[in-house]
This record gives sequence, structure tokens and C-alpha cells, in this order.
Amino acid sequence: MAHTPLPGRAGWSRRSFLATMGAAALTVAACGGSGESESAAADISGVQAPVLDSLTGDERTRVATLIAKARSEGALNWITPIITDSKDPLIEAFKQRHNLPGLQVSFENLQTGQVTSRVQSEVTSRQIKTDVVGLNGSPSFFKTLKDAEMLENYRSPQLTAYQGADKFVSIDPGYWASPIAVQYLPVYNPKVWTTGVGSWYDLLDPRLKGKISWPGVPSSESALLMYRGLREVLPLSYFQSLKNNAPRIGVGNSTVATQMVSQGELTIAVTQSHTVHNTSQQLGVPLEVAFPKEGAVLDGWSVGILTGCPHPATAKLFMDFILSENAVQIMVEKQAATPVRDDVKMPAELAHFAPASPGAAHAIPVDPLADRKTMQASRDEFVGIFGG
Amino acid sequence: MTLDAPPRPGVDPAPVTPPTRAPRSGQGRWVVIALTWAATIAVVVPILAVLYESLRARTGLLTSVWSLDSYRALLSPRIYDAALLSLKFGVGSAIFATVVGAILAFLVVRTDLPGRRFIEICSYVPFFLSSFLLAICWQYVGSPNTGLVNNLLGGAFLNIYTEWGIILVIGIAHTPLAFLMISGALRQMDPALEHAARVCGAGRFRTSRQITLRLVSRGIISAFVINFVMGFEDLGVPLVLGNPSGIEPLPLRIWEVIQREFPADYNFAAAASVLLLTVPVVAFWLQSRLLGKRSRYTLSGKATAPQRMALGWAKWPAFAFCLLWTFVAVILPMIALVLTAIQRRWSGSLDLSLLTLDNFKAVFATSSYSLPVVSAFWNSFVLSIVVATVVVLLAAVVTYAVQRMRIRGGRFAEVVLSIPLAIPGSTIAVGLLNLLVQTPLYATIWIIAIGFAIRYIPYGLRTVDAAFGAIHPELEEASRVSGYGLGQTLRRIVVPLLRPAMVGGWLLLFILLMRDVGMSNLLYAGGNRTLSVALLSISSLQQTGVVAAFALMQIVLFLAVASLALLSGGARREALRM
Repeated sequence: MAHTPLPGRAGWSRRSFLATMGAAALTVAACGGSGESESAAADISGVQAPVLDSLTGDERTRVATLIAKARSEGALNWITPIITDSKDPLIEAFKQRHNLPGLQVSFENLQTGQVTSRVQSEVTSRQIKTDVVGLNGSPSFFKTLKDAEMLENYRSPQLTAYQGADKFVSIDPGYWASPIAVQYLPVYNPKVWTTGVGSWYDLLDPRLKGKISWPGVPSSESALLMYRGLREVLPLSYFQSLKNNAPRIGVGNSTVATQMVSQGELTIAVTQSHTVHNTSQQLGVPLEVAFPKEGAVLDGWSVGILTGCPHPATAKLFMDFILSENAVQIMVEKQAATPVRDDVKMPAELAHFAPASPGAAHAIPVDPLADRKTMQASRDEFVGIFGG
Repeated sequence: MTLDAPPRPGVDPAPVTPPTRAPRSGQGRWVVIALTWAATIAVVVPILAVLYESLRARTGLLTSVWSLDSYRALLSPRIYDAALLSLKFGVGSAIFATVVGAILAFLVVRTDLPGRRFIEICSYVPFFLSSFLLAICWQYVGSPNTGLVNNLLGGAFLNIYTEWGIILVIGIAHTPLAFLMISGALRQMDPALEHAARVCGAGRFRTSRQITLRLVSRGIISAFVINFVMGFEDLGVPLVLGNPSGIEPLPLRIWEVIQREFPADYNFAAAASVLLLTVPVVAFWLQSRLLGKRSRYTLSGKATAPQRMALGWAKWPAFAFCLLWTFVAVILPMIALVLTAIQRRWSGSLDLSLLTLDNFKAVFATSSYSLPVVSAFWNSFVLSIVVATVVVLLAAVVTYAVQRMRIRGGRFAEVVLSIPLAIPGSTIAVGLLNLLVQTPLYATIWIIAIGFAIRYIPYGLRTVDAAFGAIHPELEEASRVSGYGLGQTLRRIVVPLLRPAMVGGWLLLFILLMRDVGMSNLLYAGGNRTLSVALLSISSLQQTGVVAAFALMQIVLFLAVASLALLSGGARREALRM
């Protein structure tokens, strides 16, 4: 499990002298810790942490070594969308569990596009500043990084709890894994829309004209996956009929869409449901999530470590943590997201916001890593109906 | 390419005697020449980088080859529609801004309209906000179901998430610029021709139409062209109002390709930027052709102050029009923004049971966004101060090199340095991204600083150039005859005389830089977040009230700075020069 060095830079000689010199300087800086291996000598005699209490033998030594190195690294940079409401308890629990009270965790809650843009920029410029990246609905993002040798190969021991999860969400053991999952589902205020939603066909109700939103398929890969999944169970004519109801396409992320429902700007928003619970509480508006009988695509929130990241030991500890039962329980309780691990249970009071498990999600299977042509054809089909 | 400048009121006529050259020797001379050419190269290189990248195609995350694929991709119906939409936004908003700006300018400058000073100050307000901030305000004004207007009128009368809604908001955002430019032309106009027309029996309306309108036509055409270019390249309004309804003009498409799609296709963005660049260049070329034919109209050399036209019975309808403008452009969006910011949730009206100040606290809440907000403010503040200072000083150096030292190729450098006025900010940003992504400058505020400096140097040049024209070279000659070198002459003679114009120009640049949306959003890459980037991030992650609170705080900040500028009179005067 040696920390992988940055790949070569062949083919980049076209860049200017200044660019090359600058990049080289930054590459050296970014690779500061990349030469170290986990087995390298580290003084673990004084390392104590709650996480070590349940470990023995080699695994205890390995984790203690990582903790010792994490103390010297002193920081962790983590970027992701989705984890808005659970990030503070997650960070606190991570520090406490690994006895890293002085660790500086830089967390940036970005939109999906900002995450991918940031990572691409860091990879292209060889200025890796991010340690851990989390993203939902973008398995091709992780696949592209892996193919470019920019995703760290790290097999967390926690992966044993995810066996069989690849039936529901995208996982590539050693590169990325999904501890929780979300779905695009209809969200509505039951006081405003009393009819309820039992089927996707209920969205064709003419009373909803101009008052529903649909995810922005042209600019969101997770929305594209959702569309491809729904096309497995719904004919093209369904979407042509939906067009007659003038849905607003891509009003924003789940936070924005859910707010629009709570304010009355929209009657129904088809959006990822993980913000519904908290928005409902914050704004004092009752909100419901519908589970159409035809099903919906289950979208894993995946986590991976960037190759050449500045804090590799801390990143590995964090990867272990974020995939652990403890962390998944926090995310499920704070975000009302579906746990991918079998041993984490959804609290009963949250069960109407998200499926309790992947098996209960009535998930529509869809190949998340379909070739570019297939993806583009689906995107073009959607654009052909709803426009750009 | 020559860019026609609007009239420069308040600037003395050029000296009759031709200026003599500054000495051709000395260390200072070489510093001035080096700085001039460094600035020129800094403008050219990003444009070349855009052209270069547009001729490459990505073959992997880290590799690319020579190809015309990016240009072929421009032929897709999606890009065609996006370009057409941008044209529509440019033309529509320019017509709106120019017509409203011309009417306001005429009423304020040439008539006895009551409350002229109040109307004039209110007309500037949208100029000091970014179109992005204005669009956020208009979300709360014109949402179809929860907009303030629809709520007050009790029906779905206004939907701001439409092409017309976007044109309206861009138009409002740019009207102050048209007002500034046309009012400048009106103030400079020679009233003798109007007098002559009236003496010959022409009525008030006929005089206005046949004399006044024609005399200020240069200003009107310049205002239309610059508003067209700004509307064509506007990113802020489509980002807020177009995104939710699938309305995607070209700048938004470029932003999406860079900021939303993975892998970001910088090659395609470069090709689209070339397309984006073409339209303004053609527009400015047409403008110079058009205005060249109109050079027989003399706008300078007025002998007497223009007499104000008595509006008579039309006084109060005209005043009502101005009040309506003030209400629509300033008061209505501000009311909606304040109501949203002080309520727990927005429903299109004021609900006393929902009143709260928590939204303001949430902006700075230690557990969530405090660091981004504080660092964004600090970044914007530092950027604006540094870039405004550098641009004004550099402009002074370049102008001195061209006007006084008359260096070889100086006119060429001057033309090149004017080009960014015609280039969308996003084109420069794409060029810089491609150029600097592998350098230590990337993901720092300094890449944005370079972008800002390139983008705004024409504004600095116009400010200083106009002021230089008013300083007779004999003052510098006297300094040199007295034995002072170039450095001392600049420090003791030129800079003190230029200081008022430089201060005014600096204040205006500071405001323009603080409110910038397009460039900073494209060049943002973590760690270099500016105020507009922070607002965009918060608007996608936070509750509406928090977004409104943050926007309101920005507006208060901008207006405070703008008030200083207006009180000094400097910014307005310098805006007139641009």
C-alpha cells in the first residue's frame, strides 16, 4: 500500500518555460510526503486513540503508524457536495476517534461541478491540495482519475462491510467506495399538494403546469444517470408529455430545489432528497418525499484519495473513518441518506425521507460507467425534448 | 482596430503647439519603455493562448493533440442557439439601456425636471452593483409564484426566469452606463445650434429631434455598442435567472464547460471564446465606421452653457417616468432583498411572525461559512486595491511613453492595450487559465489580479490619457530645462497634475473590480474566492434568507464605497471619460 508517486509528464513540453518551471516547483512541493510508505518507521509508542482499543496485531500497528504520521501532517483537506449538515459531527468524531485534537480539517462544501473542476485543475496543474474527494453520481469522474493514475490505491479494511454493495452503487475497491446513497425523488409540501405522488405519471397532472422542476440532465452526470434509469421503466412519450407541463429544468442543487418547494415557488421538485429533512426543520414547512412505484436510480456518494495529496496518512485514516459504521450512522441521521452498509439502521422518524437500505430502495439498475456515446445519446434525447 | 471613445466633458482642448519629445536617454526612459511593452505583451499573450488552445483537442485528462474538433463542436445546434441567445441579450439589453439612459440623460441634463440631482444619483445606483447582485434581487421580485410583484398584484404577471426577464435585468444593470455616456455628450454639446434652430422657427420637439438628437448621436451610438458588448458577454444574470429555466447563452455555456463538466474541456471553451470575441470586435469595427462618417458633428468648443429646456405641462409626466425608473431599478429590488433577508423563509410578502436576524448571523456562523466569507471579502479588497493601483500607475506610464516620449511603436501599443475593452472577460480568463494552470500563480488571487489588470487597463488608459491631454508639455520642458531628470519630472510635475484624474479613475476601478463576476468565477480554483464567487457558492448551498443577507451586505458595502466616489465626484467624472 505504498503511496503512489505522481505519474510522468510526457507530452507536456509544449508549455512555456515559465509554466514548466512553475509546475516543476509545485510538483516538488506537492509530492512532499509521497515518498513515504506506511511501513516506514514511525514512533508509535505514545500513540493512544479510541480507534486502537478494538484493534490488535498488525492492523493496530498500521493504524497507530498512520495516526503518528497524521499528527506530523497536521491537516486534512476534504472537498465534497452533499455533506452539508453532517460535516461538523463527522469531523469532530474523526478527531476524537483518532485522538487528533489539533488536526486542521479544511472542509469545502462545493457543488458537484466545482468539485470536479477543482480536482481537474489540481491534477492538470500538478498542484494537489485536496486529500479526500467525495462526489455523488459521478463514477466516471473517479474512473477517469483512476485511469490517469491520479486516484490513490488504498484498500481500507472497512471495505469488508461493503461486499455486495456494487449491486446497488458504484464501488471500485481500493479506489473509491460509497458509504451512503441518495435518490432523485419527487419532493412536495403535503399541505400544498394533497394528492400525493405514487407514480412518476402523477407528475403529468395538468395542475402542476409550470410548478414542477426536473434535474438538469445536460449539465449533471447524476441527473443523466437518473434519466437513463427512468428511461428503462418509462417510455419516451412520458417525457414528451411531461414537457407539456413545462417543468423547470435544473433549478439548482437539492438545497435550492427543496427551498423552492418550501417557499411555494414550486409545487413538486424532483431532486435528491438528502436535504429535505433539514430544510423542513429549518424553515418550519412540512415536506414529503415520494417513492414512485416504478422506482428510481440509487446514486452512491463516493469517496476517494487523490494521488500525491499533501496529507496521505491522514487521508487514509479518514477513508477508514468515513466508511466506518460510526461515520455512516452520523451521515444517515444528519442527512437522512440511505446507508450502504448493512449494519447501519435508518431511524424510524427519517424513514419517509429516504429508503432504509439499498435493497429497500426499489432501485432501477443502470450502468454508471456506460461509454461516452451512450451517455451522449441519452443527453441528446433529453435535450431534444426539453431543450438546452 | 480603433475604439471610439465617448466624449470627454471637462477636458480642455488639446494644446495648439505640438508636444516635444521627452529626452531619448536615461535609465528612466528604458524603464518606461519596458513597462509599456510588458503591458502590451501581457494583453496579447492570453489571446494567443486562447487561439492556441482552440486548435487542440483533449485525448485524455492530461493529453491533447492538434485538432479542429473544438471548432467543429461550435457548429452544433446547442452552440448556435447559445450564440443567438447572446446576440438577443446583447441587442435587447442595449436597446433598453440606451433608450432609457438617453431619456433620463436628456431630462436630467437638458430640462428643468424637478429633483434632477436625486434622479441622477439614483440612476447611478445599479452601476455600483454587479448585474449578478441585481439578478439575485430580481429573483425575489419576479419569481412567477413567490415574486414580490406577482404577490402584490395577485396573479402571475411577471416571470423573471425568461429571456425577456433576463434582457430586462441586464438592461437595468447597464442603463447607468448609457446614462453616463449620453449625459456626458449632452453636457458637452454646443447649444448655439439649438438656438439657431429655435430662431429659425423650429419647435421644441423638432429641435430636440433634428438638432439635439443628432448632436449627441455619437454618444448614443457609443453607449449602444458598449451596452451591446456588455449584454452579449454578461454572465451574472444568465447564471442566476437563465440557469433555472434552461436558458443558456454563450458565456454561460463556457462557464458550464469549465466549471461544471468533467473533464472540463478548455479547448472547447477556448474555441467558444474565439466565437465570443468575434462579435464585439465586429461591433466596435462597425461603430468606428459609423462614427467616422459622423465626424462633421462637432461636440466640443461650446461657447455658452446649454440652456435648460422648459418642459411645461410635460414636467410632471417626465418626473413620474423618472420616479418609475428609480422605483423599478433601485427601490423594488432593494425592498425584495431586504424582506427576504429579514425573514426565516421567503414567500413573496412580509410575514411578521417570520422576522429574524439569524440570516445575517448565518453568513458569519463559525461552523459553516465564516472563513470563506471573510477570506472572500479580504481577497476582493486586496485585489481591488492592488489592481486599481497598478492599472492607474501603468496607464500613466504607458500614456507618458506614447504621448510624451513618443516611443517607437507607441501607437501600436496603445491600440493593443485598448483591445480588452472589446474582449469578453471570459475570453481573457480562458486564455489565462490555459497559460497559467501549471504555474504557482494558479489557484491564487494573483491569477485573478493579472486577469483584472489586463481586462481593466483600457479603463485606466482612458482616464489618464484624457487628463494628459490637458497638461501642456511646456511644464515638463521647464522642469527638464531646470535640470530635473525624467523621474523627478514625473514625480514633481506630471503626477501631481494627474493626481485628481488618477484618484477618480482609481475609485471607479476599485468599484468595478469589487463587483466583478465573470472573470473571478472562471478563474476561481479554491483559495482565491472573491465576493461574487462566495455569493454564488452560498446561493447554491444555503437558505434563501442567508443568500439575501449576504447579497444585502455586499450591496451596502458597494454603495458605501460608491458614495465616497460620488461625493468626491471623481468616479463619475472618470466614468464619463470611458
